[in-house]
Amino acid sequence: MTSVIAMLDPRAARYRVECLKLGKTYPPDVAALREVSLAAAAGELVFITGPSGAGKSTLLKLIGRRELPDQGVVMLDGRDPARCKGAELQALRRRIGVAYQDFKLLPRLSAAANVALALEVAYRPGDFIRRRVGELLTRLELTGKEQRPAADLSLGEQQRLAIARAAANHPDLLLADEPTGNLDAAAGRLVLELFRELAAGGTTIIAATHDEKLYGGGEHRILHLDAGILTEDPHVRAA
Amino acid sequence: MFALLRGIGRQIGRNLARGWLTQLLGLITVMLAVLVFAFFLLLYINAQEIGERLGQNIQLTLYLEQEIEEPLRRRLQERIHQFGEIEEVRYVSSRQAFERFRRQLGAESELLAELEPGILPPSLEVVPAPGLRGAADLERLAEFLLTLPDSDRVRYGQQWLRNFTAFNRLLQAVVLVSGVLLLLNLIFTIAYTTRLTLATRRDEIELMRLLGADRSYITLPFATEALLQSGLGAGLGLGGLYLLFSRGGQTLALETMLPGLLSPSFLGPEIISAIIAGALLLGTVSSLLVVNKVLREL
Repeated sequence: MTSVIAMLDPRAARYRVECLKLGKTYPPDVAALREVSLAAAAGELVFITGPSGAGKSTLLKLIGRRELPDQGVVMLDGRDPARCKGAELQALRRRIGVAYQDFKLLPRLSAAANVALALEVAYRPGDFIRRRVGELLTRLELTGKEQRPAADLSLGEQQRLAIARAAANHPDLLLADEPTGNLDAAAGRLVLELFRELAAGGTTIIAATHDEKLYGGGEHRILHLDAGILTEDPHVRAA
Repeated sequence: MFALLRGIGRQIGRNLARGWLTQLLGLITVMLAVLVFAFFLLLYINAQEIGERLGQNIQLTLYLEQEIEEPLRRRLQERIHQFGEIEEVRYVSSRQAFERFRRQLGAESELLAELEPGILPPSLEVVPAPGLRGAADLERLAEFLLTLPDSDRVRYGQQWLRNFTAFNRLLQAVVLVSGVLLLLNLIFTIAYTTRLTLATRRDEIELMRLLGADRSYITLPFATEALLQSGLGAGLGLGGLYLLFSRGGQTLALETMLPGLLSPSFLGPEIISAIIAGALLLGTVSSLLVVNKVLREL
């Protein structure tokens, strides 16, 4: 039997993200993912669609190394993140921006401080932090709310704040779980524009979403996940 | 480096903003523990010094049953020197003792006018060397002196010396116990404060880990806080003691207890440095142990 590692594309390193035959089962026997394989190059924008419970969030968790797969392997820039521990794992996490579905904001900290946190842990200089935070908050129309505690913002504003934090560090990989779940069409467009700009700068973006308005149209790939099985849908592939 | 220092400062600010009361209580606890320990240490050191000064004047008086002739006197002196660590042995005849007593009485010496000059017993005054001035050693020497021919009784303030030695031992035990309590207090106070701060910031630390914060970024602020808390606590405790000492504490604590024997001195710079260094080390290590344990659980 050929091992999963041996089956890896020898050109794997040319992909920023490669998943091969990923399987994940939660107790007692809920199969969240079954033999999911996908690859995404640097600067590629990939949308993963599918109904609730299809396994989209699980796939993002495995790619972001928040959880480990039961079967298969994830490779980031040709390296297996499951083997990273300690300082190496933390360095890897600094290269991955994650916009969580539940936002994971610190409610007492101001909007600006929440975004700045991602830059502070990467030891970015103070001037850079101020500039980048201001730039992102303006970009996502959160101007004037910089000093308000995150808890005082609306859900839509909190969601944009979570996206701003994920994008702050110019990550190599950005994972977004339902990034427009609480946004109106206009705010959704702002997020998509930001994603496109980041992708143009070389960031690989994988977003799990229900929102057809977000993935409909444009230069990106759309994958469909249902009951833990991933299928690439040629009908919705953008021109 | 500058970014790391700024990050540490920012996190300390957040910790203080959220848990200033816990931090303040921790600081006060460390301060009081150091103050109590240093107080007993101060008493002990000064009592030691008193002991040393008193030891310089120690002598045993062996009263004899009768006057002894020169050859026997010389033999007794030789035997006493053979005991070891004897500085001097002086013979005081009955007449010399009477004369000395008369001089001591000064203006009141007339009281002795009707007494016989031979009323006081002759004696041998034995001055032990510095190595033989402990209570147990002196007792041993006194027992030996009583075995000599013509010996009657020995006097050297044994009751006072016994009490003083017991007091010194008690102080030593108190210093030891308060030292151990200080040690435990420091470890538990700092560990408890760190644990409480960690609990109030658990979400933030979990998030920082997810964002890729390295170990130094998370642990150094806690270590710095512990360093400040233990250093400041020790400094304030010692400062408080100095204040008490300089405002008359020495009179209450020492001079009333041992009047006129000593002008007490405060703890030396080496001891002060050692207390502060010990507090800093213990505080920082216990804080780091707690943070590392919690980080492993995350």
